[in-house]
Order: sequence, then structure tokens, then C-alpha cells
Amino acid sequence: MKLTTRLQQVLVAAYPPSFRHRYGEEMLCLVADGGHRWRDVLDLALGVGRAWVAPVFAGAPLHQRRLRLQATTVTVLGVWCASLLAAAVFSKAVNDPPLPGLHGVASGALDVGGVVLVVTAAIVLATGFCFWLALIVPAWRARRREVVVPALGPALFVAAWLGVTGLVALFARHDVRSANVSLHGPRGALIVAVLLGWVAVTVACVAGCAISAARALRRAQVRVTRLAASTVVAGVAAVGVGAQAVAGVVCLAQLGRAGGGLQGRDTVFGTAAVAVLVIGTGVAVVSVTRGLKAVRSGPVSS
Amino acid sequence: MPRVADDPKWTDPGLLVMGSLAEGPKHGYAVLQDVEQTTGVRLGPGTLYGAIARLEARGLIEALDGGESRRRPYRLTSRGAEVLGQQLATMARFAGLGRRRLARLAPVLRGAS
Repeated sequence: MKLTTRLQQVLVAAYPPSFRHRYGEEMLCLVADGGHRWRDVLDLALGVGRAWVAPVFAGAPLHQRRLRLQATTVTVLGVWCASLLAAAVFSKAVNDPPLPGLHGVASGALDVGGVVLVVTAAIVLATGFCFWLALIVPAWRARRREVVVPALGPALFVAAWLGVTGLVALFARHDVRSANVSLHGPRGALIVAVLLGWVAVTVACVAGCAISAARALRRAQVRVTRLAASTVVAGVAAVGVGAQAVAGVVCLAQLGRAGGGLQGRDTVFGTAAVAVLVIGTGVAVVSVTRGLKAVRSGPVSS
Repeated sequence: MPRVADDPKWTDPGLLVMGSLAEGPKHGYAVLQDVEQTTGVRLGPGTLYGAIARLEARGLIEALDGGESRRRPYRLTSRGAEVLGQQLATMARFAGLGRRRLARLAPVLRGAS
């Protein structure tokens, strides 16, 4: 099989699930029929990007609206999880160790921003969890395994993660009060592996939550879908406030650079965390706008 | 009456797909070949199915039962035919206007040169 054909098959598999379910077989036939050019590979790659950024849902109007709401739910849950992770990274960058020499407005803004961030994270977590429970509990009662199994995955992963972390802490004999943690040698490799595992677990948790919620929405009641609309708005608003607070804090902290501010690696992590928060908020707002438009245009439950 | 905002643009691959389906139901590969033969435009697979998805979502085309085949044929809906007709009429009016203006401009250009 030619490399271009293989690549196109991979790209077809990279389309959003609803698009792949509807057109995947036909696209594979088209690729097999004669799409052996690199230009077709590029065209498919661009098509994948377009399908994710501006998804199109075919089928009956009711089906289209429901798929739209599913996509919004998955996006918002993903943004929630990514934002919480970014908030933790940002907190680590600015508070561990505390920024030296900050004073006046910058110091006050950092304190206020930190409180706002924690409150925002709590609101986001609570609304997201309540929404998720509202979807999962009825599915659990109805014994819908296709919903419950992905939802159990994150719980098992978190349990495994806590267990592994405990073992690593025992093995590494790491003094958490020490600021000098070497990442060299076997011990360092173990710490890096655990950190990467943390990221993998986070991704798996997000995927599990999102898949279970999306599957639950396929047969959700009207009140649940209304709940979905209201909670995603609340969640996104919270993420937005948090992101702006964090961005403001970073700016003010950098203004106070003469007396301290973020430096070195913390600058990279802090900036990356803010970027994730701001971009994530933008993505979620766009997705929620589309979801609400779908909800307003007609019923999403039969 | 379809809204103008919903109509495909001239350069939109959707218009090419609809123009091809005006001949009768076709599956994706047949549309691709027909568009290439009649207009010289080679649509890539991502562009083709992106256009098909948008047209289907707007109700301008619809999928037919492909039976055992993995290739599903598509056909224009009545609304799609109406939209395509309006678009082609607009294009024809614009083409006629452009030709008349060019004809008036030609003597001026010859005189200037």
C-alpha cells in the first residue's frame, strides 16, 4: 500500500466521530479509488482541521441539534479539565517558591488573582461535576454500560495514579520541603515518568468523562439537555473570569519585574498556563454559542 | 424561499457538487470525476466531503440508499434544485452584463491604444 494512501486512511480516522460515522466508509472508498497524490493528503489534512473547527452535522434536524449539543458538551468538559490543569501549573509557577520582592499593586493583584482563581476553579469543578452526575446517574440507573464504563475509567485511573504516586514517594524518599529536586539519573527518570503519567491520566480522565457524557446525551431527557445548556454557560463564564484574572495577574506581576516577577522556567510555564486558559475559554465560548443556537432552534430530545 | 445567506458562493465546491448532481444521482467518486471533466477543477477528498456534508446539513442534497455498496449516492433535493437554479440565473445575468460592458469598453480601449 502506498504511503499516501496509508496517510489518507489515518487522516480519515482523524475526523470527528459524527463525520467519520456518516462519511468515513465513502471517503475510504474514494481514497482506494485513486487518491494517491500528496495534494489529496494535504486536502484531507485541511479537511480534518475544518471538520473539527467548524463541525457540520448531517441528518434530521433533531439529530443535528443533538450532535451539536454533544460536541459542545465534550468541548466544554475538555476545556474545564485543561483549565484546571493550567490553573495548577500557573499556581506552581507563581507560588512555589513565592515571587521574590513583589510589593504594592502587583503583590495585591497576585493575592486577589490567586483567590479568584481558586474560587473559579472550585465553581468550575462543582458545576462540571454536577452536570456530569446529572447525565451519568440516570444512565447508571438504566444500566447503560456504554455510558457507565467510560465514566468508571477515570475513577480507576485516579486510584491507580494515587497508588503509583505513593509508591514513588516511598521509593524516591523525596523530601517535599526540598526545593532542589534533581531530574538526573534513575530517580529523575522515575519522577519524569510519573509526571508524564500524570498528564496521560489527565487526558484519559478527560476522554472518559467526555465520552460518557456524550453517550449519555444521546438519550437524555429534555430537562437534562436544558441543564446542559445552562451549566455549560455557567462553566464557561467561570472559566472566562478565571482566565482573565490570571492574565491580569501575570501582566501585573511582570510589571513588578524590577522587584521580582516570574523568571526563567516559571515564565514559560506561567505563560503557557495563561495561554491555555485564554485559548480554552475562547474555544469553549464559540462551542457554547453554537450549542445554545442549536438548543434555541428546536427540541434536542424526542 | 431560501435565504441568500444560505446559498453557496460561486467558488464554493458546493456549487460544483450541486451542478454535477443536477445531472442525476451520483456517489462521491462519480461527482469528483464529473466536476473534473466538466470544469477542470480537481476536488480533493476533504473538500468534496466537506461540501457534501454542508449541503446535506442545509437540506440541499440528500443521500440515497446505496444497498450493499459502500458508496452512497446523493441527489439534489427540490430546495437544492431551486437554490442551484437561482445561483445559475444570477451567474448568467452577471455574465451577460459583463459581456455587454466589455463590448462597450472594447472600442474605447482600441482608441486609447
